Formats: sequence, C-alpha cells, structure tokens
Amino acid sequence: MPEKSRILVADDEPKILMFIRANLAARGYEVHVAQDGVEAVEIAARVIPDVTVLDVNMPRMDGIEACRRIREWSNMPIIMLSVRGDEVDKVRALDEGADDYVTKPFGIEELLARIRVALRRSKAATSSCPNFKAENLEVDFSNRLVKRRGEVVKLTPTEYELLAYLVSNRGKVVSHRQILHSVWGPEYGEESEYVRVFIRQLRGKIEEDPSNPQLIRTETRVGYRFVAPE
Amino acid sequence: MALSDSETRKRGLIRCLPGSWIAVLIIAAGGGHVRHVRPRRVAALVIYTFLLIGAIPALDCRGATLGIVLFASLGATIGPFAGGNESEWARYLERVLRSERDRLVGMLNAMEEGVALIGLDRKMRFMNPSMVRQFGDGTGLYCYEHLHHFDEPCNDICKLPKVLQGATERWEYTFADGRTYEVIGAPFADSDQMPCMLATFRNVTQRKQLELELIKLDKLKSDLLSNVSHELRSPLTSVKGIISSLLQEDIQWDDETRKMLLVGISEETDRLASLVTNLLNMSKLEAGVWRPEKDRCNLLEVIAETIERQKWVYKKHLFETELETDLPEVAADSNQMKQVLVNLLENAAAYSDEGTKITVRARRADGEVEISVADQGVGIAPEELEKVFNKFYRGAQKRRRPGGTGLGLAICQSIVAAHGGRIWVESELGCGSTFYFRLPASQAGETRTEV
Repeated sequence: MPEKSRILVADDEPKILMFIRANLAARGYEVHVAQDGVEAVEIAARVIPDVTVLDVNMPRMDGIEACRRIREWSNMPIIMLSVRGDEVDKVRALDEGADDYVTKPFGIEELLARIRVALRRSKAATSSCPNFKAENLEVDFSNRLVKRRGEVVKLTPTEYELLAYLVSNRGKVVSHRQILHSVWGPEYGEESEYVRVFIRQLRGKIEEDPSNPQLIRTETRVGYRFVAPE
Repeated sequence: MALSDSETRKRGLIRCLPGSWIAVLIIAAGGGHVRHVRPRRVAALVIYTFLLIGAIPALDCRGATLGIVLFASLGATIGPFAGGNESEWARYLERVLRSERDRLVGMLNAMEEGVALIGLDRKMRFMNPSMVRQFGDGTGLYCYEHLHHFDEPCNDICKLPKVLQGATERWEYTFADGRTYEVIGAPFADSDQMPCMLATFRNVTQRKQLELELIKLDKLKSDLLSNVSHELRSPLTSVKGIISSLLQEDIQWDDETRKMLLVGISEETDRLASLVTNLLNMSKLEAGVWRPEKDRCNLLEVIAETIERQKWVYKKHLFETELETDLPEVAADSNQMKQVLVNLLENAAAYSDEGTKITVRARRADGEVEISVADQGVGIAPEELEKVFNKFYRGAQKRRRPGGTGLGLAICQSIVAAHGGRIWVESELGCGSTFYFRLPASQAGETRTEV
C-alpha cells in the first residue's frame, strides 16, 4: 500500500478544523491540524506535509505570513482558505506563494478536489517529453529540473507545471482556460488571475528581463506563447 | 391710451440721443419756441456751462421745419476757462466720488469673507478687516510668511502663477492650526498696474469637520458591515461544510463521527442565532429604541438567576459568589442587567480553562452598586484593555471555547452607559481578568423612572 499523503490544515475555527479533519481522515489521508499561523509553520517544518491548507485570518500569525514563511524553505502546494473572495485578496495570496485559493463558505467536495489536484501536481511526472534546451534555458523533464545559464532555478510545483506546459506547446498560443485546465485541473477555467500571477512569477525566474519577456510572450486577450530562442 | 403724433415723435427723437448729460432743445423753426427739454440734469445745465455740440435740421411729422440743438455739459472741462462755478462743480464731483468710495470701502469692511490682494512679488498689498481679524495684519509682508509661516514660497501649493496667467482658481486649504479655508483667487491689476491676485478667504472649518465626520461614520458603517459578513461566514462555513460532508454518498460515517458533525451544526446555528440577536440588540441600543425600562431592580436576584442558567451551560467551570446581602436596589431594566451578566459570564468561561473558578461579587461602593465577574483565564494584555469594548474587537488571546460574536462587551458597555453607570476591566496576562460595572443606587423613595 502506498504511503498516506500528509495534509496540514490550519484554521482558528475549531468546527471547521473538525469537519475537514473528519473528511480527510475518512479519505485515508494523514491529517495534522494547527490553530494559528505560528503553530502551522512549526508543524509544517516538522511533518513536511504533501499539501498545506491555511486559513488567511488566524491569530498570532495570519495565513499569508505563514505561507511566506513556509515558502522560504519549501515548495509544497499551499491552498489558502478565506472569507474574503475579492480578486485583490486572491492575488495577494498567490503573490505570497499560495497555489490555490478557496473562498468560505465552501462545500467539502470542492476542497477535497483541490487537495487532490495539488497532490497530483506535486507528484506528477512529466517525463514523457524530451528534454528542452535553448540558449540560456534548460528544462529536464525526467528530473523535473530547470536550469538558467547552467544554474538550477527553484520553482514551485505549480510554476514547474506551468513552464512544462508552455514549453511542450512551444510556438503555439495557449489560452488562459487551456492553461488552467492542463496545469491546475479540469475543475478550473475561470481563475485567469491565477495564470497572470504565476506567469509573472515564472518570468521573474527565467527571463533575462522580466519586464520585456522574450520566452513567455503575452498574446493580448488570448493567452501566452512560449517562443524558443533561435 | 393712444399718444398724440407729436408726443410719439418727441419721445422717439429724444430716446435716440445718447447720455443723460446731453440736453436737447427742439426749437420750432421760425417760432423760436422751445418744444422739449430732456428733463434730467437740466438744473445742472442751467447752473454750469455747457457746450453746444450741434444742430440738426429735422422735419416735424406735420411738415414743420425743426432744428434739433444738442448741448453737452462740459462744465468740468471748460468751467475754468469759462470762469464759471468750477469750485462748486469740483465739490459736487468730490461728494459723488467720496460717497461711491465710502460705499465700496464699507462693503469690503463689512464682508464676512477675508479679502486680500497679493502682488506678483508675493507681498500682501491689502487685507480687509475680516482678513486682518482672521490672520493678523500682514500688509507688506510676504504671503507665505504671513499666512503659512514658511520661509520660502510654497511653490507646490501656490496658485498665484496660474491666477496671474488669467485663470480664476478655487481651492480649499487647511492651515497648520486646523482651520480650513475655501479660497477663490482672481486676476487683478492694482492701481499701479502690478499684476495681482485678488483672493477671498472663506472659513469652512466647520463644514470640513462635518464632512470628515461623515466620512468617518461612513467608514465605520462599512467596516461594521464587512465585519458582520465575516462573522456570519465562519459559522456558515462550518454548517455548509458539515452538511456537504454528510451528503457525500461514498462515505459511511460511524455513529460517533456523525454525532460530532451534527452537534457541530447545532452549535454553529446557535452561534448564528446569537450573532443575529446581538446585532439586533446592538442596533436597537445605538438607535436609542432599546431604552431601559428602569424599575426597582434587585441585582441579587438577577445574579442568582443568571448564574443558575450559566452553570448549566458551562458545567465544568466552578461558579462562586461573594455578595453583600444588604445591597441597595438600583433603578434598572432587569432584562438588560441579565444580558450584561450573561455576556460577562460567557466571556469568562470562553477565555478560561475548564475546572477554573469564575467569581461574581456584588458590593456597595460610594453610593453605587458594584458588580464584578472574575475569571482565572488567559487575561488581557495592557494595550488591549481599552479596545476590548470595541465592536468586533478580538483579543490576541485565544478563546478556549469556539464562537463569540465580538459584540458581547460592546453591548454590555452600551447597556451600562444607558443606566448612567460605567464598566471597566482589570487584568493580568496569564492570571485572569475581572470585569466591573457600577450603577447608581436608587434614592430612598425613588421607585420608578419614567423614560
């Protein structure tokens, strides 16, 4: 039997923790819970979860700060929970390194689906593609390694999946919706702000001049296109 | 009534001649009769010299030949040469000028608005009395020195250059002392041709303060709404999450977990109900419609009844009382007093561990009755003591029990204030908190306060 996936859930509402924990346990996950941001960061460092779910509004340290702390040393998928559903709040969370954002109140199926997607992404193996190499950029699909000027670039699983998708479709224009479907999962399609945030982060890591991107080109009102250097 | 031919003619002729200082004599040819004299200023014309400026031949409508003779009074010009009554004329003119000037100066003096004339060189050339009253006399000083107490021209906010280009500008400015003025600057050429800005200053401090007050109230209201919606969403999340969990068909919940989930729904709906009740009470208190029905109220009974009920809810806390038995009665609404005690007891239980003591004390103090609720819980940090009575303020310390609406203490404070009393808290982190409130004791003979 494969090892159980470890999930860390942090929320200061005991009832919310209770039902999420009951569901995850019933689905065979190993569940860890935290009641504030400080506890979440401590437990994350100790148990190294496969997916972390953080409530934004927690005492002592909020979820955004906890997410930033975890991102300092880990690329684990992080899902934020929040009572705020505005785009600015989502973008802020994604900017701090979260991979996904669920607005309260939510049905448990939605959260479970997003946890499954996050797990799939962190364990996915895009090894079927031949490796890509051009000028300064190198993508080693079999080892999930990205190098720029010969140096390894640290990417989160979501960033890696996004780059891998763009590279394997190089030369073609891909829409926001296609990207969301392929990288985040079939449940996604409307969250174009996710794509914008992650494209920006990716450009920051692989482009020579992120403000004048040469590799990931914006196709206005359509989507993006990866252009391999000559 | 129809006018006669000659009347019509006369009026038509006379109207087409310019200026009230032109006298018209229409002289019938041959007869030498003066037919009409334009009436105004005739007296002056007679006294002073006048100049014949022309005669025009004309035909009467009856065919008679007429001569129109025009005279213009040029007394001021030709008077000295003509040796006429020039000093009288000068005195007359002076009188007219003086009265006109007095009128203008009087208007400027009486104006509520401050008026200032600021030259291209940024010097204050003129200030009316209102301006002097409001800013002190600074005639001859630089405007930035006198009005703003700056050492250099305030270029970034100065409208002088724009006004001097010919634009009329209107702006609001708040001075360092907090006064806000609406200023209108218009281009003006002074008598020495210096380009100037003629500025009127209207004090709008009160209006500005009201505006700011309104903005603040508006923000409070929207903060409150946003807080309420967040407070509602947390219990809703639990309810929706738990129900959707139970609805999943591919999971068989064991009895224990199912019960735990159902209890969760029940508790969270209680919390929603209590939040809604508290919100309603809060808004009634604020709108002044939840007025206390003050009557003789025996606080000892209220305390006993409330503790009895809370003991049942918080079974694992130890409730103790230290009550003076000869407590005077107070004029209070016993239902509202119960609400205050319930909220204080719920707080005490929520922020302390099971098995710890909650002590309710009642005593007489300086003609007032003092009630206190003490717990052995987490306590409140000194910097938070004032804020705990604010709506939706949540302390940094974690509740031991879930729930709460963030309104309990705010409601206590409103109720106690409506009874003419006061409420406060003393606390030490890690040792517990004591909430006190005092109400004035009823005077002997006072039985019922009409509201």
